[in-house]
Amino acid sequence: MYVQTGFLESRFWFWAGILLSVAALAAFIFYDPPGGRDGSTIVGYGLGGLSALIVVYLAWLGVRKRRFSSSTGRRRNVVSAHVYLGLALLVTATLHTGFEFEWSVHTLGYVLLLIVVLSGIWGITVYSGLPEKMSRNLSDMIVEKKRFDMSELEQLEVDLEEVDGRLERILQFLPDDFRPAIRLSLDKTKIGGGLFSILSGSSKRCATAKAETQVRGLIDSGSYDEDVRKRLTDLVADLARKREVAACLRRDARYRAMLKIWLWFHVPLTAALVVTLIAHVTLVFFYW
Amino acid sequence: MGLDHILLERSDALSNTISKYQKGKYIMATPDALPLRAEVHFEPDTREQLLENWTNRVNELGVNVRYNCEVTGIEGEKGNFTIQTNGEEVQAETVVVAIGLQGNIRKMGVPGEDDGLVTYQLDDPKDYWDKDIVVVGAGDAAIENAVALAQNENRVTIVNRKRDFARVKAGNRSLIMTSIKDELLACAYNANPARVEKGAIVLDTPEGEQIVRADKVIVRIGAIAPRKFIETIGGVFDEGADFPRVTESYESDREGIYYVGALAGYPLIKHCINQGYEVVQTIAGQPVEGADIPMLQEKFGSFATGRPMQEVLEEVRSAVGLFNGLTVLQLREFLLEADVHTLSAGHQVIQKGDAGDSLFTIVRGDVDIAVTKDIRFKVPQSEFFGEMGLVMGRRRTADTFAGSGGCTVIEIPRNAALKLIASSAAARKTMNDTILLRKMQTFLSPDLSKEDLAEVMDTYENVRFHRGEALMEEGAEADAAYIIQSGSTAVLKDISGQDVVINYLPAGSLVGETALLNNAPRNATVRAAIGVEAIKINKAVFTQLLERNPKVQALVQKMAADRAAGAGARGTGTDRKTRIVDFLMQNGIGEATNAIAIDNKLCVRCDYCEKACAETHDGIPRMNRAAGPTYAPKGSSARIHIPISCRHCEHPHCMADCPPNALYRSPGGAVMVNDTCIGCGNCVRNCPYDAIHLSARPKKRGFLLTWLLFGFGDSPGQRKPAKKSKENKEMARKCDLCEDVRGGPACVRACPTGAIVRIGPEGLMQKIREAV
Amino acid sequence: MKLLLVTLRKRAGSDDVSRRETILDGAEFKVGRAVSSEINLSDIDIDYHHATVRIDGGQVRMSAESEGGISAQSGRVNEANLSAGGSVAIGRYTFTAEPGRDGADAVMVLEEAPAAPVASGAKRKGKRDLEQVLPSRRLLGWVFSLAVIGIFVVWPMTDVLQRPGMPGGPAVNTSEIKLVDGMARKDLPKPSPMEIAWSSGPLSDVHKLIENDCAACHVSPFEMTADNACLSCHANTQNHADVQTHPAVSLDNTRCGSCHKEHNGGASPVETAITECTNCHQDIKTVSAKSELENITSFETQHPIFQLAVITGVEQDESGEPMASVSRTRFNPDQPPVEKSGLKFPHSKHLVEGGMKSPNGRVQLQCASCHQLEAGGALMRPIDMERDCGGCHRMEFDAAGLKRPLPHAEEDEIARVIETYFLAAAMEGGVTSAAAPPAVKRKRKKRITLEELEQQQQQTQQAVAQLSDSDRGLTIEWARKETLVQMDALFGVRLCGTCHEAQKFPDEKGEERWKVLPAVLQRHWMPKARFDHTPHLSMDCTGCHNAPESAKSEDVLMPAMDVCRDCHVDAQQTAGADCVSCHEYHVPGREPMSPAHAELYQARADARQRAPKTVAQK
Repeated sequence: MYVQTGFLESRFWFWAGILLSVAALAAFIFYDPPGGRDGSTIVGYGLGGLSALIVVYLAWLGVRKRRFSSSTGRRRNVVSAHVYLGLALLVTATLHTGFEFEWSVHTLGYVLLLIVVLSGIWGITVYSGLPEKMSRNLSDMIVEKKRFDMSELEQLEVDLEEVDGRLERILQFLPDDFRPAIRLSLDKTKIGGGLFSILSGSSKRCATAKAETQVRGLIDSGSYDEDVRKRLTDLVADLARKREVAACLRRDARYRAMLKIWLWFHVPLTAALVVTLIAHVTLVFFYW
Repeated sequence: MGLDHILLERSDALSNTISKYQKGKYIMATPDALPLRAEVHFEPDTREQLLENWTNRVNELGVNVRYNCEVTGIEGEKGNFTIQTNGEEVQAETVVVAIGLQGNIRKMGVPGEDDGLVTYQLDDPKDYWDKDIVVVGAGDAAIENAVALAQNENRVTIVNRKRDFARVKAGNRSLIMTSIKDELLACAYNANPARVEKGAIVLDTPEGEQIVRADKVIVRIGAIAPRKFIETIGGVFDEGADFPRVTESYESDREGIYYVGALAGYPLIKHCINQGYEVVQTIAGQPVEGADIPMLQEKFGSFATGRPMQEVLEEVRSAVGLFNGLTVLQLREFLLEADVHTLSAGHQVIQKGDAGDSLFTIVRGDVDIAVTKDIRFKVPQSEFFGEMGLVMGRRRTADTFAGSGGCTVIEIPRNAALKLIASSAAARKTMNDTILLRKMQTFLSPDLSKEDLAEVMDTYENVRFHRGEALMEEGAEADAAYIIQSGSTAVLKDISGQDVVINYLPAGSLVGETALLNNAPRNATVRAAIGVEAIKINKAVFTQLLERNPKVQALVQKMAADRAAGAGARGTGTDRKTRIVDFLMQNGIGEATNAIAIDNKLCVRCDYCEKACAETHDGIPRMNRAAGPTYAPKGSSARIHIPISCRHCEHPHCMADCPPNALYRSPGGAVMVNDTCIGCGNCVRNCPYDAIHLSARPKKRGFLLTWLLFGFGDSPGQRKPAKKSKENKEMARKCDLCEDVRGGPACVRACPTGAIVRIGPEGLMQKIREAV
Repeated sequence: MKLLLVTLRKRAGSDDVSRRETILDGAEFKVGRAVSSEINLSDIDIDYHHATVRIDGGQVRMSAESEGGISAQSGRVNEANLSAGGSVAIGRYTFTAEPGRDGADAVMVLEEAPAAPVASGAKRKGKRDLEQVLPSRRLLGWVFSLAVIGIFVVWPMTDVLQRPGMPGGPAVNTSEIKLVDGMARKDLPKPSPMEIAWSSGPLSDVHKLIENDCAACHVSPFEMTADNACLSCHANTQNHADVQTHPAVSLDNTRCGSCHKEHNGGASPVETAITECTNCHQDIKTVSAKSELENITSFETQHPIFQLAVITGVEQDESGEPMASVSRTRFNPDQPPVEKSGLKFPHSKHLVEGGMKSPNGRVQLQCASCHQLEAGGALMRPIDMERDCGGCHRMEFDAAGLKRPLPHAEEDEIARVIETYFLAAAMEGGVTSAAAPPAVKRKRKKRITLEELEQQQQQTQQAVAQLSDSDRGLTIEWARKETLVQMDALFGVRLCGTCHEAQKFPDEKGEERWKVLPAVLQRHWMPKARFDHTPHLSMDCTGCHNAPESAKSEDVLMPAMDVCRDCHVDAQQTAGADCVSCHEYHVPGREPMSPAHAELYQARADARQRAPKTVAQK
């Protein structure tokens, strides 16, 4: 259930995109010059110019969306435009090439554009899918939100801190054989790390999970008096909780990363694309 | 002036009230407008500085002071008083009593109290570390001390003789509760000190005696008001009054004895000083008029020209119902903060939809209130209007114009008006009567007159409900209707075994009104979404009224018929949606006028809202996207998040206690802070939603493009927090709804996915109802 | 036993120390992590029960219960006796013994050093944001952009600039090369991939042979190819119309490149879009008021009817060469134009079904039997009598069963051959005809055969000379008479007459002599257009040229425009109807496109003379 209307729901830009693509397609189909359909025909120039303009406009979003103090319009609409014009670009630019590809700076430009737009599409998909997963992931893990001014993430961090604190304290009531397990959980439980571990978000090698199994093992093997037994159940509960929370935080980090990673293609390549476009135009128009 | 005088001081130093203040406390010199007329210099300053100045000044002037001299009684009459003290007696012609209200510090009165372990004030919490400290008391002072100490790694136990912290400021309550929950400090409820031993204090608790280790015991249980003493020296307290009666020259019923300062009902330092001056002048036989008189003269302008202020004040007091119960002195105090408008006929007084929260009273002439085009009623002279804004924190509900023949109205600002209502029972009554009348007029018919509703007027009760308390239960017999005066309520229905909110009724609404129309049982439960004050109209009385008053009866029957026709018209929404409303209510949206909601299904956590907010507000974000409650129950597809940001409450908690009155509500409805903020942090503590923070203004480095291209400078909306300094003071920073920015709140505009909205509760409900 | 335990805690980040004293009573005191232990050291690294403290004789003895042991000055020990002042440590806790006081048997000061500040949380804090593990997008942006500039701009540029003829490269005398070895510089290096990277597409076929020579067109970098570059090959490019009368066509400051766009592949960079022409020609008057041309929108819809160059008569100039007078007449099927070529040739007779008889039996003629494409392929080669007609129409004079070949179009020679024949016959003698003089009738003793005589003219002459004066006279007279008779037959009727008109003219001696009237065959019916037979070969000739029906040689066998339009229409999937498929833009015979052309053309011409010389001198 959506309470707000998202950036994909802009009728205006949706139809603008469609219209643009269709118009481009029509022009391409119905105009068949003797030289063959390519970038150097009237239509070709039209499509090329149009595409170039769109690219520049879309790239400008990077600046515009950060112009917080400027009071021009809502970013959501700008983003809608960005999305749908970007998709239309796929059509106009492709037609501009006239499907003539060879080893050249011009084709390079097209390839870059392709990657940029595709990464953009990737972005759209994650934007429309992940936020809910993310929210669910954290919210489902929250037991009690103690402080109003804390985010769910911070709350879970605090939970971990508390569990750790309890782990240290509980050890004062437990024989030494439990120390290694608890130490393991305390020192070796990592969240995040390298690019890979962030993106994988897997908790396969979670230290706390190991610790938990060890502890369970010890419990099954040894026999303890009533008091210790009570505390051991607490210990296991704590470890289990810590394991879950840690896993949740890893997932969160992963979602966070997935929400962003496409930008690492989208943005730098856009810069490259703009440069390439400048080269392309210069060469084509100053080199005949 | 060379008068023969002596100043008797109980303690060993002058002005010990102020010296008891928290270390470094900044002391205001309000009311700013009021001129200071005295030998001692007084300007806003820190406690230490102030004390130093005064002591110096007193020495300069060669004031004759006797320290450690406690007055026990006064004999004789004017011209020949004998003052008994714990030392030798003193002879005097006239006596000026300026002992304030603090009176004597209240002690525990248990054995071992005076063995040095116990102290009655805390200068600097930093003086203690890693100590066992017991704080006795459950007032604001006690809580502030206890928490401060606990935060400084002391093992603190706070002793509360009750089972909760009811009497304290909301801010302090949440402070202490969270501290206790976080085990920052321990709390002994229902506990009374029994005796003090060496390094420990023994408490009487329901579980029996409990010994608490203590390196120090700090007792903050207030003081004994000096009423007894005053009465012994012939002061007279009127019925229900908190202060002894005084004449306009501050002379008490016993001639020759004058009361000034808090004792006379003027807690403000400047007042005390001025009164002292005036009294002395009077005694010296050269009376001066109050420092405020010229200002009032000016305020009244044409209304008062050519007439002695005395007369004008009298007229005002008698003319305005609300003021009847006041002494001229009190009246003067209010008027000082009020504004007087003399308006020609038809001139607009109130603009509908404005967020004004001041109260208007009519001194002369009358005004027309246009509730709707057709419903228009006159407010005659002596009555007041604008109370909706004041009491209910609602926007102005109607345009108001000066009646034919013009009018003179007095506009009393929010705080003053509240003080007025609080201080004078009469005023309170008048206020309620009017609200009731007007409500019934709009509910039934404008032609209802006071007389029609006489019985109701006499019999209604004022009732209070805590958050979550039920005004009425579904299915119960309908015995009364309520007018919500402040706060807001949620209407719940039992749907498949559990209560879900089906509607939300803001302050100003009439709830349970069907009770007045027919005999059906309650068709829904109504709970207080936040603390609620309401006027309860007893059904029995109302029905009697109907029997005796055919006119009203007719109206009621008509109304009942209309209701029956449009029954169930009110959209209830589906179960899952009502759950959301429920959640919003529980998170205080009920008292908001404009809050942020984020649809977490669209939010990509880019924090642009926050950055935009910062960028448009000197680099200081006034919201915290991630924090705040989230609605995300398992199995529900809704994901609504209420980030931390000002909700511009109907009754802003932050305004409750702002020394320089820096907080105000703009015509646009935003609660704002102006530059007079002294960074005391009261609002920060009082805001239950953590929406206000103190910070100095950071500098911006670089430009957007330099950052974008070369990473030079701050990334937009993320500046390095500034160190506070003399010229860059810490101030309260909060949302101002971007009222000065074209295009509305930056947070909303900046959201790339359109996840965020800033909207009033009604609007939010609407959105939720419409959501798919 | 009583032990007074003094606990000292140091305040982190300050030198405050808190001191608390507790009296412990018992025989022995456990030291360890366990809360149950009397002396509780709440540190996870200290064992549950780490050590035990006992007191005997005012001395404190601490004995370790775990392999963790106790650290004394001497190092790790399992047992330590502490007299006053002595101290040991367990983890971050230090124990110092003091002499007993206040009724305690011993005093032990327990100093707790503040725990290592590392919060357990800190260990957990791995990097969780991409920003922490990836280079900034800004950096990447710069890297990629600079990479593009480096690889696709700078690198190609350096290469390009160093190519022969480019500013950075060895000089190449373009005009020279282009002339001598017909343009292409085979020895130029192939462009590197990086140079190609700038090319916006493949060259057109016609320019393939200079594709290695970028400098040939791109004389200076970042300038559009200048006309001179084109002129260096295409010097003799004529203008489209008379610039004087039609200034519009002079196309001042318009580059060749603006019409001829290269790097688009294809056959040639010639602009073929109809609009290019019709822009002006659909309303030619607006462009040049003087023009007499008709408006053209397209061949299909609006195009002037073909104007044929029809021969209206053939004269002979003083040099004797035939000179045709031509008139351009609009082709009108109703009154077909009449051609006066001076020839008699009924196509119908030649193409008659079942063939026509010939010296070697009946033969079925085809168009191709006479009409063949010329070398270039565009037009039909001119008809050659000996080659194309001689097969049947043998040029020979046969008398007495002897065939004697006669040359074509050489009247006097023909006369000589025949006369010689009759003289020889006379010399052989024995002629029977009555008109013959006796000297001819007479049989000779010493016979010389006719053949011999004809072969050796002198012999005949000698023989004639040896005759007696009277006989000689008669003989020559007779031979001349006979010759005349034969000539009349040949020219008038039999041989030449079949195709040609011939007449007798008196020569200077006043003697009548046969002459064939001049004839010319039209080779180029539509001089303003360029028709190429080759692409049409798949078609049947008669589809356009209705020869079988034509009995008169006056018939003009050019097709009507509709015939062309059957195939040539604007629509797709047809032969198309571009202007340039029939008309050239640069009209042959016009003045050069520009002064530059003129000069270059001249220079070229001179060079052409010089070239061989220079070779010779080497």
